[in-house]
This record gives sequence, C-alpha cells and structure tokens, in this order.
Amino acid sequence: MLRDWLPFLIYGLFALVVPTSMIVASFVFAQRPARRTRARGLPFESGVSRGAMKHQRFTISFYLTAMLFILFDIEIVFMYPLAVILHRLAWFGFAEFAFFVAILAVAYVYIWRKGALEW
Amino acid sequence: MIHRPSVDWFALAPALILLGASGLALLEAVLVPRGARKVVAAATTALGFLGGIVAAIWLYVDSVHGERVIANALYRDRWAALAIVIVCCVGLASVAVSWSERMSERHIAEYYALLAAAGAGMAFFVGAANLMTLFLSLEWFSLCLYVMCAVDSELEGSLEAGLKYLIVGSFGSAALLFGSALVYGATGKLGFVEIAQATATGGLSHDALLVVGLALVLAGLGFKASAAPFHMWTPDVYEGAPTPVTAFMSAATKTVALVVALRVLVTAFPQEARLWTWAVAGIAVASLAIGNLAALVQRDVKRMLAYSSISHAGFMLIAVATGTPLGGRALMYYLIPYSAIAFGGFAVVAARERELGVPVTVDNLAGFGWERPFLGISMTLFMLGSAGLPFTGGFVGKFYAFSAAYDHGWIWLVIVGVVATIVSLYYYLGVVRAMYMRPAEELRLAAVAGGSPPREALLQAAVGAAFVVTFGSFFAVQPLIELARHAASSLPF
Repeated sequence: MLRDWLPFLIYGLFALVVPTSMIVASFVFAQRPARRTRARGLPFESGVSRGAMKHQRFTISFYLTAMLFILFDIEIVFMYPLAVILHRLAWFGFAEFAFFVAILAVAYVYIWRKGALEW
Repeated sequence: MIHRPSVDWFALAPALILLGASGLALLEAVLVPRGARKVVAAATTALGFLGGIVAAIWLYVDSVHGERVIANALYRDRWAALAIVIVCCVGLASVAVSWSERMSERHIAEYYALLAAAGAGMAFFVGAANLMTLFLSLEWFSLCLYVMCAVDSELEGSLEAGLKYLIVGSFGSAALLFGSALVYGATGKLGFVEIAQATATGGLSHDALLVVGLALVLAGLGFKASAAPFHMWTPDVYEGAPTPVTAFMSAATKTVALVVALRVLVTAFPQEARLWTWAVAGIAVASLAIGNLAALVQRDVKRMLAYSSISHAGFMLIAVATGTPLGGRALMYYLIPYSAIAFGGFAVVAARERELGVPVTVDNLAGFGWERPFLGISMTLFMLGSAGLPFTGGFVGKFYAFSAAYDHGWIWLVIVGVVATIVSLYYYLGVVRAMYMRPAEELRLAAVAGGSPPREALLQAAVGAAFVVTFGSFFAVQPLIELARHAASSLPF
C-alpha cells in the first residue's frame, strides 16, 4: 500500500527541492550591494517590475489566440490519459476519441477559414 | 479491465442527428460561397430537425418500456421521446420563420448551426437521468440560446437581451449546480433513481441539505421555465431577441424545462412530495398572478406575449404541482397546443415587424386583420387559444390541468386558475380588437413600408402548421391524450 505511494512521494520531493534550491542558491551566490540601491530593487533575471502598470492597449488577437489555445490545449490534455490506457480501451476508446477530435477539427476548420488565426 | 458502457446509439439518435446538422452548418458557414450560404445552412438545419422528428417518433414507438441506457445516464422512454418531437417540430418551424428575417448576412449560417445545436442539447436534456447529464445538457442548450439572442448585433436591444439572458441564466444554472451538489452531498448519489433510494433507506427526507438542494434545483429549472419569481429576465429578453429566436425559446425551452422538472421531482424526490407539491403550487400561483397582471399594462406585443408565457408556465405548473399521473398527462397534453400557440403568436409578430420595420405595439397592429387575412385569423385563434376558449387546444389543456388539481383536492388552485383566465381575456381580446376594430387610417400607419406586404411563404406555412395544431388539438383530443398518457406512464408516480 505504502509502496504504491513511493513514486508520488519522490515526485513531491522533487517538486519541493527544485524551487527551494533555486531560491537558496540565488541568495548564496548572488553578489549584490548590501545597501538598498536602485539596482537591488529591480527584478532578478525574469520577473515583474514593481510600480504602477502602464496603461497599454492590447490587440484583440491576443485574447482570441489565448482562447483558441486553451481549446486545443484541452484536446491534448485529454490525449495523455487516453494514451496511458489505450491498450485497455482498445478500439472503443479510439473511436470515442476520434469523435472528439472530429468535433474539434470542425471547429478548427471554422476558425481557420473565418480568419481568427490571422494576426 | 476497464468497464465500458454499452452505447445505445438509437437512444442518442435525435441528439446526434441534430449535432451532425449543426457541425455541417458550421462548416458550410466558411466553405460554401457567400451567396449560397444561407440556403444551404437553412436546408441542413431543416433536414436535421426533420431527422430528429423521425428518430424521436421511432424512439417513441420502440420504447414502450422506459429504461435507462448508457451507464444509466440517459432515459430512453416515451416521456423524453414525445418532448423531443415537440422540440424538433418547433425547431423546424423556427427555421421557416427565420428564413426571411432581416438579419445580418455575416453570421447567418452560424445562426442555423446554433439553432440545431440548441435542439440537440434539448433532446439530450429531456433524457437526462442523473445530475451530471442534467447540468451538462442544460448548459449545452443555454449557451446556444445566449448567443442566438445576441446574434443580430445591429438590432437594437439584441445584444442587451443576450447579455441579460447570459447573466441571469448563468445565475439560474449556478443555482441548479449548487442544488445538485447539496443533493449529492446529502445522498452520495447522482442518478435520480438512486437519490430516491438513498433517501428512502437513509431516512433523509427531512435532511436540511437535501431539502435546500431540492429547492435550489427547483429554482434553477424555474429560471429556464421562466416561472415567477424567477421570471424577471423574460420580458426583456423576449423583447430584445430577434423574434424567431423568441418564438423558439418561448416554445421549446419552456417545454423541456417543465418536462424535466416533473421528471426530476417524481423520480428523485418522491419522499419529499409533501414539500415540493406546495412549493410548485406556490410558484404556479405567483406565475399566474405576475404574468397576467403585468400583461394587462403592456403596449409592446412581444412583452405582452412574454408575460403571457409566464402565466402559461403557471397553468402548466398547476399540473406539475399535483405530482400525479393525471398531472403528468395534463402537462404533456398542454405542451402540445401551448408550443403551437406561443410559437405562432411570435411568428405573426415577426411578420408584422418585417412589414413595419419597428417594434410591434398593440396600437400598430391596427388593421392588420384586414390587411393580412390569414395571419389575422391565425393570431385571433392563438389569442383565443391562450385564453383557453373552446375550439382550441388551449381549452382542453387548461381543463385538464384544472381537473388534475381538482383530483388532488386543490379546489383553491382551480379557482386561482379560473380567475387568472378571466383576467387574461382582457389583454388577449385586446389584440383581436386592435387587429379588427381599429382602422389603420386613424393611426396613420398604412403606408409605412409601401407596396404590398412581403409574401413569406415559409413563415405562412409555419403559422399554418401552428394553426392546425392549435385547432386540431381540440378535435383530435383523444389520440393526443393517449400519446400523453403513454408518455406519462414511463414516469414512476
């Protein structure tokens, strides 16, 4: 029983160790001024800069693309569990999934021809 | 080995045919040349609804003994099949009425695709056998309807109607979902039959979680049936939406919501019947009072018909409230003339709207009966049918609903219904008076559009079909009641 959970435990351990080690390492190895200068307040490598957000206007394409991305992302999310048990579901599972993909394919043809993918 | 459910494709046939039609119409929206788009998409959708009617009738004939199929998630019985027939007939008529609607050509094929998809969702909804399929299919057809309300963005009020329906409708869906969660939490079961069993074995019928859950599920279905006090979106949405969409919603959405409400109540909550019969009776009285009193003061005909549809929900909920086999029969019978009357009324309004190019008020119906004799006579019949006067199916429907209440020992409910009917005569006959007894010249409306009115053969055919059903359901009452009796016998009263 407990043995079944061992891989999960190891996975959880990794999930903890990796980010912790990154944060600790950045404190240990970083060379930064001891005084609070302006450079210290800047974001480290990547990150969000502090201060008020500038008002920017985004083109609608961002929203459209993001939405469409989620749609097809979900398709892939469903493919993973199917791949794991496909040999047990056999042709039934394949046919069901082909049906699902076919519905999304209709949507794909629609958005493509409608010009939603043009930037 | 993973357990695979055996899929009864035949039970799914109406929904699948409509879904196929919807997908095809969506592809036609982008692959067919612009000029032919509308006719091809409309034909596809019409064929889809025709296929749905055929499949549902076949299903009705072939499902004498109701059963649950596909991992007990869906009912295959006559109750669902008859409701699908009504929905598909309304859908087919909607295609006909939509044909000459002045709608922006940009989204016309998508509109038909959504219509077919909404029909598919409804066909699934009436067969729902557990809380999961119930919510899934409710959202399925609701999302289609939200977009259909807002589809004509150039029409004043259409976007507003869509947004209002989206927000209030989502609130109703959320109530249903929260109620489902509470019911599941109390009983640990999703299937309607299993919920009733768990309630009986666990002695849960007074469990607070379960009762609150039941109330919320009832409220969620009340939103869709636009029964008071869950009706507040109805007049605005019915007024703002394109008239063919309003016609479809008023007939089909109300049908499925009431059909499913009765199924859920008698299948999943028989132990709580003492509670919900009173609750539904209260909702019925509220709908009758608010629907009829508010309709008295409306000048806009679409708003007036919206309030009239709220009051009809009240009459049908009288039948639901009894929770008896007679009530089930009365509901199913009532739905047949009701869908024809509601749909036909809005279709005639659509015709007048196209003639005038402005929203139809009671005043600018003046002279309509003389200008367009067929539509005038039809509208008169629909109004008389709504009021429940003899020689229309509305009369038998109301009589049957009242007799179910009387049989249940609720004479007070019958009295409320009769008073509501008397009040309703004022505004129904007001429409007839406006059409025939007020000369058009007096209101200087005669030459708004100029020339002879548009012919609109398809719209006239749809109105004619509604006319035949309204009239015919009075004379062919026995066979129709037999149909309703067979349908209701698949519910566990």
